Amino acid sequence: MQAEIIDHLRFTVISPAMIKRMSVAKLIVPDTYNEDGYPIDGGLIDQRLGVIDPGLKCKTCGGRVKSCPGHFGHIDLVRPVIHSEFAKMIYLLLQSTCFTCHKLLITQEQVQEIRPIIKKTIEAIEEDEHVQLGEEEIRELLFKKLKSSKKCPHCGTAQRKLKLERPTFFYMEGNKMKPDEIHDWLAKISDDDVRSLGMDPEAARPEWLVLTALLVPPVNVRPSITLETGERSEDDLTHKLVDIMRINQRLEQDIDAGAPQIIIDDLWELLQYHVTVYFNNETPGVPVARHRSTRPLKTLAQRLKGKEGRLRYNLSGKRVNFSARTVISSDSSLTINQVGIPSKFAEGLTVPFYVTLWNIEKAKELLQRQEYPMAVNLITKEGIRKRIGETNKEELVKEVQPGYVLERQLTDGDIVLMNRQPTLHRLSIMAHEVKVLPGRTMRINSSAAYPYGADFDGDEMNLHVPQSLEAQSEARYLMQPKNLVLSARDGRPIMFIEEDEIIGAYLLTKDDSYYSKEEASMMLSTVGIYELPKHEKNGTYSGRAIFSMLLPKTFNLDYKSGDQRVTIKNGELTEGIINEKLVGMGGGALILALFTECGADFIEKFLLNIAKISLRAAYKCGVTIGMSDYYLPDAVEKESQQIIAQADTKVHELLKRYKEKKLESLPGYTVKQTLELETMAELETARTLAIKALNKHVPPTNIIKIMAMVKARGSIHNFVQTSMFLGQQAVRAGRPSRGFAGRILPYFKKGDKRPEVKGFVHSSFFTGLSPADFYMHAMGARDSAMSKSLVTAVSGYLQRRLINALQDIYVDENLAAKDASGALIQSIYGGDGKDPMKEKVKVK
Amino acid sequence: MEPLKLIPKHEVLSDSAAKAVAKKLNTPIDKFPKILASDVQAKLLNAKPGNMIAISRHDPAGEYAYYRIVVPG
Ligand SMILES: [Mg+2]
Ligand SMILES: [Zn+2]
Ligand SMILES: [Zn+2]
Repeated sequence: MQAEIIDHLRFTVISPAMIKRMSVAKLIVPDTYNEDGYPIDGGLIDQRLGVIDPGLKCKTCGGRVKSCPGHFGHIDLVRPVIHSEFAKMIYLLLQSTCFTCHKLLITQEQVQEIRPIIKKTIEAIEEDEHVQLGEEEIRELLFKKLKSSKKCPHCGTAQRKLKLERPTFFYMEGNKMKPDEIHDWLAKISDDDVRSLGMDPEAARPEWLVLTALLVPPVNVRPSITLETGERSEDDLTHKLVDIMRINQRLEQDIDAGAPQIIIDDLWELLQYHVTVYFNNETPGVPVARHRSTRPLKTLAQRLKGKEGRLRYNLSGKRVNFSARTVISSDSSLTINQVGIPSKFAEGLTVPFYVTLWNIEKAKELLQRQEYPMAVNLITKEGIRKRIGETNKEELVKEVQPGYVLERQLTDGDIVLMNRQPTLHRLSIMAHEVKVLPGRTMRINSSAAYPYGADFDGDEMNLHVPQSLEAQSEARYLMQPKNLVLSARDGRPIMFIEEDEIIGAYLLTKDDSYYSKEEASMMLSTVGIYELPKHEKNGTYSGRAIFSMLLPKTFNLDYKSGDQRVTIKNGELTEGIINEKLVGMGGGALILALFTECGADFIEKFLLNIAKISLRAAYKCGVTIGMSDYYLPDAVEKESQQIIAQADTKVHELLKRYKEKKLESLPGYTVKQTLELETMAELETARTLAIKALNKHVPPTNIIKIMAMVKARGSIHNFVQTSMFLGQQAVRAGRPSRGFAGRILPYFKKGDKRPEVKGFVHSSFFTGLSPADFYMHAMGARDSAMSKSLVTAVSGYLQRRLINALQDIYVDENLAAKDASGALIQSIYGGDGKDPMKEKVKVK
Repeated sequence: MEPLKLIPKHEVLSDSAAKAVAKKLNTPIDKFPKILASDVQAKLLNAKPGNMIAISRHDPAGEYAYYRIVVPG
């Protein structure tokens, strides 16, 4: 049967008559259970409203917990109250109608007349601008006109001034209007006038906006919870409904007893408050209703609204089956395409096994197995799911036939999706091939971590097992990392080697790197190569020759960048060092070339092998740091002092020139700003000089220097900060300037102009910071931490909005970019119709 | 008036050329990007609503034509 397609939904206002028709019980007792713990008849847990107790039967439909859908009840309000969410609409209706004859403050003819007039005035205002007014805008103008109407055109009564005080109080000429007055007024507006105002009287009569009866949701909407102590705890909605009924009852008693009007009005307002809060406990201008524990009550609006509301939490986002989550760790023996799955996960996750004529033997074997790779469930042709257990195993083996589906445990080679939040781009969800491993973490190749934005300091990731064959093949074709090595942004690799691997690649391919036969054999065997390259005359093997073993014999590359040149001829690295520009974050030219020329499967193997062999080279060298690496020659310390002294004098000179009014201002700046800019430039020079000094005096064997130079980790500037001096600290992109009068810290003299007074730190992390220096550093650090967190929040939201705006743009068969409506976005995608993820794109 | 150097070349297409572009791109005229008749470039070319303007864009990827339909306003 073809399911009916929903054409449209219509939300209307519920009428008191409708409430009574829907209701199965008029509730009269403002309580829940009696002393025996039994639901009170006519109370809020009345058994006619449905059951939540497994032992009880519904008094309306006779169903039990599972079969009874629940039934609505109602409360008759003794006095009407305003529905707070409709207060604005009521206000508009009151303003638009006469308070004596309740007709629209404009004649029917005028309604027709007004349209062209409004149109014309608008056109006059906007001059030659061509604006088409929609129904909405016309209505807006109509309301505006009605509001400004001073006299009723029907009975001639002068209109009184109305005021709405949020959320529910109405005043006429300063006198409070009671909800029953408003109700009667609204009730007298004719259906025709209602239509003129753009409302459908069938769906929403104005007087329905003032409540005379309140619909009470079934008990299964607001179930009570029985605590371990046997104590009952009621839902927030039930609590609020009890309040409403209690006040409603008191109001009735007081009216019957002929209590003074003030008391009745007070109770009436209290009833209004409870009903307002029942709909929305965040109504502006109304005190929040709280629990005894001071926790705010979660009433109707709060159930739906926001991130934790029904819409975003339960409908847009749902819990899923066939998924898992745990901590990730790295494994350099897995390819970027694989994922290591803890054996416990593999036991718990299942994949469908479709039984056919050709695999029925395998199906029977899976069914009979007693341990790990076994079938867990069996689904018959009719779709009946049976759990496979010891007792029914033999029976099911006999029963199984083509057309049945088994659910077998996850095994090596299955395809799964990995996801890390925040899911910012398509590479945040990729498909990996399963490799079942011991341990409790999921493992990925560290090169695959970069597109996820993952590291291994406790990051967790989610895993999903695609169930249908369509989903599985879609994942294999579109989502495997080996096919996604190039970025859709600029066509550069986004999977490459990092850190230790980069330093290893450098050590392996640098000019003077030679290895003995034993070393070469060992290194190559770690990547599964059991042949040796050509050796040198003295019997050693060059690192470049070893590296070349990873390349296809037909591969050529001629790479130039600055004074760096790398040549690969017929798969032989003849010249140059393999660094991050070739295999790392700095461009990955070699990876790009290999991907486009040799394909996805090759690059998968290559990334695994280059990482392994580079790490091997790094292990051989013993890449490690210690205190001694930071302990620099005395010459460095001497130069440090000189640089600082020089900066001091330069800044002093600038100041002198400024005081003598000899400082010339830069274009667009005041003299004072110029002084600040030039001072900062001078202090910046100190940093550049320090970097130069460090490069000059620190031997090229210093591992920190090597790491910074080959861009494996850290920069020379980091080295300067640890071993020479920290330099200028920045707050809000300038020198720190606020704090105490005339100085930043009380430690300084007022008016002191030396650079260190404004955050130029002389000491280094190695020597330790003085308290004043430490304070300056902390200021800079706090400022950058704060702005970083702000920037991520702002850019994250921007990103979300861009994704939502652009998500259904696609490239059609003519390579034109279009949106879901077929509107043309770009006549040729990217201006050249090329897919940067698949081919090398030339950028001018 | 001499067009600014930074503004890419705008050019009004003949009706038959416009039709050919729409056919080539398999896109109805109303689904093309728009340009107001009051746009400086449209005024400069004396383009009327319904005309198609071809803009030679220079992207990092190269040079290509971007089409806009002139709309009243
Ligand atoms: Mg982390
Ligand atoms: Zn029932
Ligand atoms: Zn009147």
